[in-house]
Amino acid sequence: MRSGLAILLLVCGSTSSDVLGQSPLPDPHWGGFAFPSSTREIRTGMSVNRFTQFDADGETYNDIAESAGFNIFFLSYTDRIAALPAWSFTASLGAGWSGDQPSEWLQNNVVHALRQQAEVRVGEVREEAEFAGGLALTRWFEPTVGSDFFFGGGVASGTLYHEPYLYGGYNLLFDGPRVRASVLGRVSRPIGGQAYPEVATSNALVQVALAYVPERIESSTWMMQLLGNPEIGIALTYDTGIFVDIDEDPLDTVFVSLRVRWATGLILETWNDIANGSDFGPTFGAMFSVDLSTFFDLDH
Amino acid sequence: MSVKPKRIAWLLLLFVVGLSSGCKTTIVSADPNSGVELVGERRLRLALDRVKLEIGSSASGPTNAICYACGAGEATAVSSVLLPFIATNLSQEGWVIESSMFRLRRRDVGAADMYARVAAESRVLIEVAPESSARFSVPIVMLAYGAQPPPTKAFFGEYVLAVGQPDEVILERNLSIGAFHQGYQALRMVGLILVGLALSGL
Repeated sequence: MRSGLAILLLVCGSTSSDVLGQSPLPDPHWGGFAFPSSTREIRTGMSVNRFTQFDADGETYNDIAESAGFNIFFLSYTDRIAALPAWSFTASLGAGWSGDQPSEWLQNNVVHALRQQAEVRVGEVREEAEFAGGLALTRWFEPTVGSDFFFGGGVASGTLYHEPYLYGGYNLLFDGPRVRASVLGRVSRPIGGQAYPEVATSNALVQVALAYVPERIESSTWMMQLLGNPEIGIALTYDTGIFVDIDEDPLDTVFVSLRVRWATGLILETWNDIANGSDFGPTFGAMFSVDLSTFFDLDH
Repeated sequence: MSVKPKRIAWLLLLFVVGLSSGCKTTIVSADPNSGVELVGERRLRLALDRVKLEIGSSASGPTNAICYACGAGEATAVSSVLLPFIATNLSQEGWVIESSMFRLRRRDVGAADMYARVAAESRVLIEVAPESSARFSVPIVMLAYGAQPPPTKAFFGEYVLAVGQPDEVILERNLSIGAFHQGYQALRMVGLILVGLALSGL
């Protein structure tokens, strides 16, 4: 039991989604899932990301002299292009605010408290209106049911930073254990924004993910049935870093992420820099979103 | 009176959470792995993760739909859905996809509860030009009869969708139909995560 929960706990343990382009920035550089979606979705939700100036020992991450919690509501639309069905696009818009809550409460009063860790100190806090948007195009190659290659590119822009990027990857679902293995590579050219004018001049990230994928809506095991028989996935991300140190060298980070996705399109995700062994900088985040097309009849 | 953006944002979040917990969502979902697709020069792909299933109590739904019935007489419940497909024609000749190529059957009930296609003339759904791809949707209507199980639940279960001729299947996918309160699912998962966090701190 305890070992079975260990993965959940590690991911949520001390600190930090998205489907690429679905929730706008900054999720990809906080450890969120960056894989694109290939089918139609009209997704709305909220993402929370925390930039932590100090860790539990009082050490500072770099010369950014404030902590920030980015709370962004987003709306995104993904669909195949009618004239080019092998291509999909995702357009997203987000707006929200930065402030200490609720990310400070989640970090200190929930995660650190439950894990009996010391609280993280908070100094100055960014409090501004935040905006984000993005557009991405993906080309899909689908040789068999359950496997696909993809590549694409896009632009993300907002008050935190701006970023043109390219990406490619592969998904393969193993039928026996119902496990999907995925890998994604992404390169970008970050440009400073209002919140973070000093960012790395180039960036690369690699994300490897494993997910249990249920065969159907209902489950024959009581625990999975109780939870609604969701797809449960974990990801490990290496990011060369969008933030820089005092010498303007990028600060690389490793993230662990957990995603739970139900057949209805409901997604819960959380990501954390615990795999990096640190607890400052882009430390953790979470995202909750629903697919509006499952609530409203948009086709008739 | 000043309007506080944070208050509006939290009200929006409350709305989304309320929507997801208060509304029961009835969906058609496709098994992402098992099945047959993408064989030969004429390939058909079911471009579906999930889609909303409309359920009504009278004979409604698109008039041009492919109709399947489980029983006879006057239907007590009607469901309709638009299934999205991508057709790729790699051959040098045009490809005509007709409604008679589609077959839907349940795979979790006995023969007496099998769905049968309501007799109708086959019609052309789309003609895919040589060496091209096209996206199209196929309206499906299912009719249920009797009061047991409750008519609105009569459609819940497992299905197999097959496309092609009996001796040449070009697509076969497993589908599921069910209804859920999304908010309750999320709350149960959050509860499990919190319990896990607490245990990890012991």
